[in-house]
Amino acid sequence: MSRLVRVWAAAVPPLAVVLALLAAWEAASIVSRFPTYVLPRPSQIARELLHPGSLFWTHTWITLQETLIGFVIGSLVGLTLAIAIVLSPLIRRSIYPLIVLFQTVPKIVLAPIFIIWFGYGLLPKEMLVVVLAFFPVTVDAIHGLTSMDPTLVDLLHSVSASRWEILWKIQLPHSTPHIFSGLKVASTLSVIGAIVGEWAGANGGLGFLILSSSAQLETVRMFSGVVAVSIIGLLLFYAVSRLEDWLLPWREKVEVRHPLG
Amino acid sequence: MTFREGTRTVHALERISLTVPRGQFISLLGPSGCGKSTLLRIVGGLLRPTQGQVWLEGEPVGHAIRRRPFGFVFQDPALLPWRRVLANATLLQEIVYRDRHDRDQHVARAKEYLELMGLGAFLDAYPRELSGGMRQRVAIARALAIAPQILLMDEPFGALDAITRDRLNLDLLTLWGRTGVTIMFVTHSIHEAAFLSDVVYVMTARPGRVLARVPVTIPRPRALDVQETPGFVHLVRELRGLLDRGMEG
Repeated sequence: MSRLVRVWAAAVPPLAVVLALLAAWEAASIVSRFPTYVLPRPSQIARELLHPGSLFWTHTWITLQETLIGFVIGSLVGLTLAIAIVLSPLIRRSIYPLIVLFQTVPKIVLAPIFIIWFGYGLLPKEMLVVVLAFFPVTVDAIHGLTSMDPTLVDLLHSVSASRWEILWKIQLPHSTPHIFSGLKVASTLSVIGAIVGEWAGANGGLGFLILSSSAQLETVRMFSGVVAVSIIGLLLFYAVSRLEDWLLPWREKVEVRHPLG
Repeated sequence: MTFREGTRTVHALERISLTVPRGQFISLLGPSGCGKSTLLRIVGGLLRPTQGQVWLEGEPVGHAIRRRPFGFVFQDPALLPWRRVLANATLLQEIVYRDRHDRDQHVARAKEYLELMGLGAFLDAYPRELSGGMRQRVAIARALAIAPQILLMDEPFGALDAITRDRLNLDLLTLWGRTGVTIMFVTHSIHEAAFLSDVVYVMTARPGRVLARVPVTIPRPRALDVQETPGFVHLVRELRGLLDRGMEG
């Protein structure tokens, strides 16, 4: 079976379910005569998103920037911290416990503080995304960097490999699958961070749009915002997964076989 | 010979003294826990003994290793899953020859060893595509690729089935003949020790000590059917007798 056929075979059943649900929703909202401000129809939401001159592109672009920039910086910070913690016992003892402690703070409460510190623009949202995104990357990278085959450690010591050679040739490549699972978690947290950041105070972005539509009972627009946010989250997750497949061709693909055949 | 493990001093080996002439193949044969792996790790500089010394041609072994490392093969081949076969075989070269300009020549040697062991068609394969025996062949090529004076092998074929093990024993003898490397081989298989070695050291457990030094006079080159000859059978019986005596204490 060619790759394309396999992708289609995997995509068709869930797509069919989604389409069926949308059709049922559309039918139900026509029959039940619920007012639009309670339950808008899927067709109205689609029109709102796609009509010419729709404001969604502007707001989506703002949220996308906050998400992406925060995600990239957060991931880099997370990875750097992990390497520093693994390389330096001093940092491991002094900073690592603080990071873990900091993780117990519900970080979205920082959003209003960041507004005071960093103003009303993109920066406070990006900072919130960074704060949310770095931790899973740090934790998974540390796990990957430290879970080394003891035989390999012996082998490298036997040829007097330097600390950097061990890090560069063994530890980092070994930890890439771990880092990617951290990145996937971080990607979903990044979207949350951007939206919550906008709720704390903004004049643009999908979070701002959803909140202001709520105040005006513009339910169709609210739902459209939810759809747009979901698409950003899906696309980011998908991009990270594809990057993983591309960078790690040596990984064994696990074929998931259904127990019922 | 004692060594320190954590804060506790382990009295693992006692009054062991052995001399290995250059180019010989010697085996350390003994039950699990007799300290034969410990001895090998001390020789290879992975463990520092609290008492006792290892010398290589008039020089403390620590110095000799820093100038020219020994080769190591363990039971676990420990290949890197993200590197293809040839790149795995040259991993240690990248470290040992990091400042040298004649790297290509060394890579050619790694390739030659892989080809000698029948892996010529698998240079671009990933380790997950190989059988257990093939992976261990890559580990042997990786160890010999840095042209060590001494190759230390710690139960390298312990996890393999008997048929694969026979093939690898033959491959190992081929490479040994080709490189002239000195081999110290740890095993708990009497047949393997008898088939491969010039000298077998029989060890006993707790504290580990050498019970007997048994020279093997079976002529080389040895084929697998040498194991049916009376001389070989007699040698195996003698080694088993020594091991049994060691177990009784």
